[in-house]
Amino acid sequence: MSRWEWRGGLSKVAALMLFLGGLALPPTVIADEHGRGDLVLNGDEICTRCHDEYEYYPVLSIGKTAHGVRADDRTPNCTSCHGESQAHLDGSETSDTRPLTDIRFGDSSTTPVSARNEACLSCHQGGQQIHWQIGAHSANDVACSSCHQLHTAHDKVRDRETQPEVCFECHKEQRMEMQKFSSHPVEIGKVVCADCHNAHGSLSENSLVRTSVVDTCYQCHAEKRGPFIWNHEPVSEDCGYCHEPHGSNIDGMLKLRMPMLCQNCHEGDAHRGLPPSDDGRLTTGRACANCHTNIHGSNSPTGNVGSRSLRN
Amino acid sequence: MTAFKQGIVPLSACLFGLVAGAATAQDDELEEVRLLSTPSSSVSAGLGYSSDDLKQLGRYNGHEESGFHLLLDFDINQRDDETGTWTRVDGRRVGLSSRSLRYERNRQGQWNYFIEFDQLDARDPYDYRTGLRGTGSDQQRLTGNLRSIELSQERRNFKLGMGRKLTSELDFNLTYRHERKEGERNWGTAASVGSDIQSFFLVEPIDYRTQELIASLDYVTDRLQLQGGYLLSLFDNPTEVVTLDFSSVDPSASPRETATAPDNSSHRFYLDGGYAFTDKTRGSLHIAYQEDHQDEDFYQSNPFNFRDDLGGEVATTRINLGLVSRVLPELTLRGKLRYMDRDDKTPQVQYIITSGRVNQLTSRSSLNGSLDATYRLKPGTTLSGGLEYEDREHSEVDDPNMARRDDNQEFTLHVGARQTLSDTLQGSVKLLHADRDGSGWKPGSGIAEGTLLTTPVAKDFVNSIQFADRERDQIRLMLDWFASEQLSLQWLTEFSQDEYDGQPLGPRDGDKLLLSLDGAYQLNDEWRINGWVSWRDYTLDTSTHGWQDLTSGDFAASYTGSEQTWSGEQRDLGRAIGLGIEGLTGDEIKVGAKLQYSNDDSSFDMSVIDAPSDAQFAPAGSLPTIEYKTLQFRAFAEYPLDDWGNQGLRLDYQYERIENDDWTWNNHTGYDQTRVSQDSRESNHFIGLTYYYRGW
Repeated sequence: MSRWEWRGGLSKVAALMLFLGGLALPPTVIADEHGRGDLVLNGDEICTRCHDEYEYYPVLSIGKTAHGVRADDRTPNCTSCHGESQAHLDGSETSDTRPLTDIRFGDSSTTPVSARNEACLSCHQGGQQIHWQIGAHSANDVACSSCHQLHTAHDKVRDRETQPEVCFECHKEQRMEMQKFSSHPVEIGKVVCADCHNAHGSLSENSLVRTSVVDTCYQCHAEKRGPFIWNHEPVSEDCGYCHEPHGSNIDGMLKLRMPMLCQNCHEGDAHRGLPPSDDGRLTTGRACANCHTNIHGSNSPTGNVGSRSLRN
Repeated sequence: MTAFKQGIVPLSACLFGLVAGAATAQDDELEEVRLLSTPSSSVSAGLGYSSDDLKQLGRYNGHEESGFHLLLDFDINQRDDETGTWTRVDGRRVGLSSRSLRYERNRQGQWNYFIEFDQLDARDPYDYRTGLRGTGSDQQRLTGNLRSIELSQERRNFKLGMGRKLTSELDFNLTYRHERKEGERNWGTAASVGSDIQSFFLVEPIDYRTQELIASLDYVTDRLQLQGGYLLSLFDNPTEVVTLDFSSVDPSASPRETATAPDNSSHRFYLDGGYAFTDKTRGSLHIAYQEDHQDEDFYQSNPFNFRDDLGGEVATTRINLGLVSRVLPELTLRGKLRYMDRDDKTPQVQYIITSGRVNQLTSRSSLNGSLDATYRLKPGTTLSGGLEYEDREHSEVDDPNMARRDDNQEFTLHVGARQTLSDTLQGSVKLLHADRDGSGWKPGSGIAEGTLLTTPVAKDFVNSIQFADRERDQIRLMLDWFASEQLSLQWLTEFSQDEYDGQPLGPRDGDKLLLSLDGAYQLNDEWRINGWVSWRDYTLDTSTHGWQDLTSGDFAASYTGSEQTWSGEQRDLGRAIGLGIEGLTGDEIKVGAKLQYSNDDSSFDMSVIDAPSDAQFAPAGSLPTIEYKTLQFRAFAEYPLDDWGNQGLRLDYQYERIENDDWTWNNHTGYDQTRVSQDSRESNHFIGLTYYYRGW
């Protein structure tokens, strides 16, 4: 017996005792006799005569959310999401256990994910969710309810300070990277997963909110956009060639320390191929960028020979 | 606790009925229902005390200075149930420099507007002792008198937005964001001193303004959804150049000018769409056209082309298509196509004295297509597989100091399976193989195109990591075990291996292993614990060669001796653990604690591949390993002051510690005697006491 069923049973026992004592009627019966009607959502009477906040998963607090706005005629009722569930309403003549609702959410649900998500998409297919079906989460059978909590005013994934906890339940490498020396201020909710990724699906690479990696980064780092006289190709192609946006132990969220980072692409001729050392200016401080200053691009018009490679 | 008190709803109605009768019980119940289903608000206010001044731990969070801090948060939610009109006022960390504030009003399904303010102060984690004067201005001067300076930047974001439902199918939304970023940033420049080039410390004055305007129109029907919009992004920086006077080092030298980031703008028009052809087939579309401009006046005319600005203009076109169809009840197919063309229309003219040295353009294009299939073999068993092909054409860059290719192609194949192994155990496996190659290599400089590059005896042999031939193999295993209603565990293993080929030098191979275990246990109705542990090992083998006369210290010429070829293995090993507990004591006090610890080692081992007798340097063997450790312990207790828990006191305690022996920054001394250092250990105790009120 599940926890809510056990609690429901307890409620019935208490009600029965009160009824047998002839002192009062149990609350659900009160509701019926006095025609209490809908409690929270339009048309919820048939459900809330049994289901209330005295549940493993309380239901009435959905009234605190956007779904509980009865003045908005678009808002759903219980059956909009959980199905008509006639068998559940009718109960079973052969078993003490009531058949479950047609559509169930949560970890132990056996309802196909697509059916669960369809309950949400029937209203939320536009806007950010336009590309849900083609997105990575849909392809991996992630349910909307895997991330969102509907029956509560505080949906963790919609709160900037708690959203990463939800994402890290699956994205564990990113959870490690966020703890590193150089990372975005995720912990205090200043930069969160949804600022860069559209978890509801995107036609861009890596489910980005903008059309490319660089356009996503330029939201906050527009000074890197250029174009410049002396461009550095990766800056307009993919910031991820040099940076680890989820965090790294190297200042500037670099993937590797300089000069090793630069040596991954640039020719080993002359000083560029020198091995790093712990007392050399090619390795310490800003390393290569000690001299090659504006590594993201320079708009120096002076005509100095060095302005091309030094970018200053 | 919450469930218990919420359970009072029907029970209290019953008990009340003993005395007052059923009708009164119903009134009471309905009032309780109203409270439980009406939006509630909260506010908390108090004081916190931070024990230490912080450079690294207080980088963003506003706790950078020791002493008392005002702790103030509020979340006001009011709703007019008659009209469905919400009023929300939200304030987070209001007493700190990392504060955010938001006011929003909306009539659900009809209109909305909001205004936001967000502040983020970022502290530079390093200490600087320098003879530089005029930091933060565009005129900086090097002196011999050292002094300590600290650097920081502040972001102030204002955002406005509104939305209006025009018809049942049409919505209009408009947002505007203005960000001002001010402060100073660690920077540098290089200048000739005598016959050598030396680096100098500079401080970049930051006074950036970024504005973004997004206007969009949504059209939504059962089958068709469209969103068309315009995005304007403007970047302004009033500082065009920073001049360094370093006559204290070289009296004959002219001041060195270093350009700063120029103003730029971007305009994008886009259309997103989705259409359900049938209940089982849906198409997706994203089309965007973007123009980026950069025509800020040069701070001086270019002496070779006499231009006063770059006239930069880049047009980018993107077309992304998607199609997903459940062709059989068990089989779902997904196809995606992404096309991008970046056309750099900037006039290309000579900018420096060397003939042919023109400004660099960044035109490129790419095409990516994929087809994936998911087959539900039987209940609880799903198979998946897919193919992906990508073709990238690269920019034509003049003399990039690297070998390059005109184009790359990459082919990726993946297969996977998800299986319900028992009532409580689910598993998944995914295998991926990717193969990248490309057109012939073109030398960066000094070697005629078409020259066969086979041995590392000359320039241009580096296997540039993003252009290199690469084979990637990857496996991901995941197990979810719901051992009982109380206990759940999740195990993840990821391993990937890269093999590079194509050029004799550069990246050779790399691999990554990630192991992670998560668990959660519900001790009873009131107590829950969770924990996780992760282990990540990343390595990258590279090789390169150098050719340098170190005796002269000249980084630009005077090459003597033979090239030295060497290899290096970069290894980053990370371990992290997290533990948490939360519950309710018998005294109705809600308590919780969280512990996180991480330990990362970064090493770089070098060895000689080819060492001619006249080589003038040798790899040091290995660089000192850099270790970074973090420890964070947080605990809280909430003591209710009334029976309903609507108000109470909250006590927070936090201990944080980091240890970092990054020698690449600690005690780095530059040519101009600027010394950068970093505390190798930093810790802080924070304690906060707040009064909270929730629920009105």
